[in-house]
Amino acid sequence: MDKQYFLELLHKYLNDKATDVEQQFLIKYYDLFLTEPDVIALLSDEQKEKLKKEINASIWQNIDAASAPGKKVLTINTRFLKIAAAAVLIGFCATIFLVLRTQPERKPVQPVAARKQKPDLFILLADGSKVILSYGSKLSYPSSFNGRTKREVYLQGEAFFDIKHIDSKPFVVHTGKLETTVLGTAFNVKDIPGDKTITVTVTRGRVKVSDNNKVLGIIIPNQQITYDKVQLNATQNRINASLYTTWAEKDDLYFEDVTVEAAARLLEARRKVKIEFADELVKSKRFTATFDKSESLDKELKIICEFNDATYSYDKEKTTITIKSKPQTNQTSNL
Amino acid sequence: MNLVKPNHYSDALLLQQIEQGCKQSFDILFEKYWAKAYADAYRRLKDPDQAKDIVQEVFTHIWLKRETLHIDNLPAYLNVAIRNKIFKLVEKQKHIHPFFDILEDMPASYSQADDNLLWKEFLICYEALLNTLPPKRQIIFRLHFQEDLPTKDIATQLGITRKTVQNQLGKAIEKIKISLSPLLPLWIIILMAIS
Repeated sequence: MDKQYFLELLHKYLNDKATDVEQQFLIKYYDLFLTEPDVIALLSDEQKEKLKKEINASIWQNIDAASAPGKKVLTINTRFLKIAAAAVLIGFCATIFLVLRTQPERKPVQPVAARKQKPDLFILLADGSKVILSYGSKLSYPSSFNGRTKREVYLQGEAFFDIKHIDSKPFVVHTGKLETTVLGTAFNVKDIPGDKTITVTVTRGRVKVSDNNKVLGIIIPNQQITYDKVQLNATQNRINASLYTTWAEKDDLYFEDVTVEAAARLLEARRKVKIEFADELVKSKRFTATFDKSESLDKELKIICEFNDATYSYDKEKTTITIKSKPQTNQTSNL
Repeated sequence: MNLVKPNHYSDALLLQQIEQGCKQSFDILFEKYWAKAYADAYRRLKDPDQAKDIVQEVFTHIWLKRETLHIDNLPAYLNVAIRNKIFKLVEKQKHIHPFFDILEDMPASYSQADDNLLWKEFLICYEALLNTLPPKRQIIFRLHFQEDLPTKDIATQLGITRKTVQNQLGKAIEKIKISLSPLLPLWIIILMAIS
């Protein structure tokens, strides 16, 4: 059975477009798992009781959070709770989390209802390079690359990089012992803690991958280097790069204090549209928001505009979108 | 008040109480069904956190929508709700997920599945699904299903010999029932020999 086709079926099913035969197939596939052991039966009474209490407590927290006036439905995620628990009491932290997510100090956050997926973080580096950091990953980077000979960042986890070309300043991603060096290109680096391998995948340009100053390979689009962290060796394969980078396009995305222009550039890439600005003022405004992957382009534009006192319009062919400041602000519109 | 034990309350009564905002009834209902819900989610997800999240979401929904949800059969409702949540989750995490393991092991598991009712039912549905596919795709699927070849390899193989062999193969496959699958590897050898 082909996984791609199975996912197509799932997609159809979730959008209520699957035929009876397709539905039946998916349901029967799901039922196959009934032969798997009952995990609850394997737990001790104490473990069972603990698990039950945890779930019950989370349910009531979710309910309280959802019922509080002025708040939309948000569910607390177990994985997040685990992280939070390390620092403070679970419940307390979760509440703070919800509050922070819905009412940040600096800028208003988009009030998305029932946002269950964990968002990726969009980062605009000082040199204008774009990074989409997968949820849970970490990236350390300087606030400015001025006065440095290289643009160096440190990654833990997975990120997609779209690097601005600067001849004199190579861009280096450090992942454990691995260094990925580029001048200007787009590529994906994946180093999940616990995984035995690090993979580097290229979608545009040339990328050099090295290990303690030994060059492991120079790869071009649709090539990938897989580095074995245990055996310290690398293999090179031909792949379809888009399969490794779709996550960066499809997941929910969290914009933190980005300029309208940066957000627009990212939307252009994700939505295959062109976005122009009628005036300079709106370009440099900053905002924070989360975009749900299932949201429409219009909704995203609306959010950007609402937060930044702007309006947007399509041209006749609907291929170009123009964003401009609202009339009450000083503007130099040339529409 | 009567002294009936929690589990003896009927679902209908509990749901009615819940509809009116009775938190106690909700807790009784949770007590009664959480373990099965969790086990069901865990079977497919193999991840305690994800399983927990699914159970939380489903029960939270039951409470929040209590005034509009009219549930006739709670076990059936939970089954479908959990199934849909899992489908949604695995669709999002499409790259790697234990949920696809059976899919990838299908040929291997098939041979041991002869007397397993779930597998029999599944295979009937799989067969029905295959029959709805365009012929070209059917061939690819059948080869893949029985031979465990990566689809890409089959596609290239078929690509090379598509014009000459496809019709024959198509006809042949119509006649070859899944129960006669041992014949299929032969066809692939023939295909490879021709190409």
